[in-house]
Amino acid sequence: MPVDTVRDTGQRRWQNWHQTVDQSLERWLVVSNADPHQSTIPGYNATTRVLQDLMGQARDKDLSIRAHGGTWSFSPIAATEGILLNTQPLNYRFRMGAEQFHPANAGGAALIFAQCGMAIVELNRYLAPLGLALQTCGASNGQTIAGAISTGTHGAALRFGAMQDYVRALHLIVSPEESVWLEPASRPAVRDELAGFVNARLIRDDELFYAALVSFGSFGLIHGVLLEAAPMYYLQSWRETRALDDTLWRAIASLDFSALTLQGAAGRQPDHFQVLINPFDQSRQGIVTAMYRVPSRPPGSTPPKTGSEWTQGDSAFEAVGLITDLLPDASALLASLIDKLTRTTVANVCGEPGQMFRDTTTRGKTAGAAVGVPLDRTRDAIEVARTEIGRTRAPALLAIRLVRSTKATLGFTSFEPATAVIDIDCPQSNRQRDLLHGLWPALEQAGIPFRFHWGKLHEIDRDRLRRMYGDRVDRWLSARRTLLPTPELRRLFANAYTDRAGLSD
Amino acid sequence: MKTQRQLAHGLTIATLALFSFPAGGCLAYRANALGAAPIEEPMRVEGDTALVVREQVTIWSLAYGLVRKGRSRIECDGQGLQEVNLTSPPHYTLLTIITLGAVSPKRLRTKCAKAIPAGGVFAPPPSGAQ
Repeated sequence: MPVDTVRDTGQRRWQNWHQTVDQSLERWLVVSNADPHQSTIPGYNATTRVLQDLMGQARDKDLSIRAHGGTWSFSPIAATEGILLNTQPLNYRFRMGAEQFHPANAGGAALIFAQCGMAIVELNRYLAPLGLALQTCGASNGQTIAGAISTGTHGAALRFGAMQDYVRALHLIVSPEESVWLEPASRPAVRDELAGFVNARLIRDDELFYAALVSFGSFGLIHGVLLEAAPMYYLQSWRETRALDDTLWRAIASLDFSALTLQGAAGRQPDHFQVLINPFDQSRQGIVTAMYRVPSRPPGSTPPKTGSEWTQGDSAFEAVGLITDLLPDASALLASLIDKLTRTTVANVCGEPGQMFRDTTTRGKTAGAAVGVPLDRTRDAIEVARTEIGRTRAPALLAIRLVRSTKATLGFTSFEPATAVIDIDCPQSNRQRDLLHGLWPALEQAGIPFRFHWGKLHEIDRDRLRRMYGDRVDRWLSARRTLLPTPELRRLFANAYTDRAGLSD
Repeated sequence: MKTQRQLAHGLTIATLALFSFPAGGCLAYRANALGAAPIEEPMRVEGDTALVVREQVTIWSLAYGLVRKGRSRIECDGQGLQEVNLTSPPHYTLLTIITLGAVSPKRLRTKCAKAIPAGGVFAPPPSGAQ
């Protein structure tokens, strides 16, 4: 049954998933495909026209227009005072036949064209019967593809990269009148005429493509994403408690894990590596998870469990935040409790990527922050974070995830050859706010280069952004001016966040 | 002495805060369909033929379940449910206690799953179609 393609929610306030953003706005609209049951190119093109019409309405009223996906970002990066589009129902999916590949891509990997609102869980379910899988994803699977790549969402794929690194082309609506099919010139994906299928102008340009990859809605609306999928693989996982000693820090700095003699390694280097740290733990141990890619499920391995029957209630984080504000010593107790609960051994658990990284159970007022740091400064960054947590007594846990360097101009996982992403997770509270407010200057004072995760809590401004990215900021702005040549268009896709970061010009 | 008093005071406030949460946040139970793509949007507008629906109704159990009132059939256009929430706000709980369970209202919130379209082939649109 055909449905209304644009529905006004009637709401004039918008909150994100974790309730860290509460934004008043002109209109919050839900956009759907006219036929939600069959992916067709004419249907896709009709939705492009709907989106362009909405852009035109925003331009006429001098409003900005932004899109949101899963709304998982903690930062106000998707917010706008103008028109906000919920693109989650836009979930068409298309296979590309080999005859459509660019000659330079002959014999290349499988290419899938996904509409912007397709969630990672949907992609996993679509790809698995085709014998395909995503190269990496975040820790769970509810983000939409456009939102995830636009904010640089990552897993711990130290030999692959972040999610934007398997994008081969973007279909980007840059104005009420025009859309572009954007590919890197150095790695064209499909034949020239395919851009015409979606009424787009073909642009092959490395500088523009890598700038637009992580651009959080500021280059226009990403309507479709061409993804390179991997042949189906399995992840074989082990989790163990280890000392946070010189051997571990050397392994992280060098990406050579042989000296760690990880359980299950059998001479292999991990494809996925992360460390969970309780900063209140005086024994200085961490929970190390290593995963290895294998082409099939090894005999004797165990399939992943669907999860514990015990999970936190939706009000749990708010309660913990309040209690730890009142009783600071409760922070150490709570962090230790969570640490003990997660300190279970995992041995030879193996599943498809979509089975290993699945539905999140986390709801309510949590706070997540993350920075990317160079590998050889991981230990220093953890020590600074540990000191700040000790100062504020915030009930935080730390995690380290290693991600191979991205080519995206403002990708925060862009340190070479890989980035250590330090996650700081805790319930929302005054102590958490005090912690994060103090942590960024403390990292700067320690001389540790770092880059904020775009989708997590941080305090960005023009100067700090320049210190983080140097001339990459100018390259990104230059690319944006090329694709959005008038100040009017650049205003259309800006918001208060990009103003503060100096990324609206 | 002063420190002990402060500690006792802090513990009292923390305990009150802890026990006020089930009331403030409601007694809440939630079930999710595993592997369903999450989607967020406000409540359904009555009569809307929306793709994705979130609906909230009060359901009543009267005379210990002999009579039930409230919508129990949910229209999801054949897409199935994504999430079911059952909550008991403080005044509902109070009513249940006062009537010794004879009148027991709950708040039921349901969310339909997203439509999952069949996959297509990336091919030129038929002539005439744009």
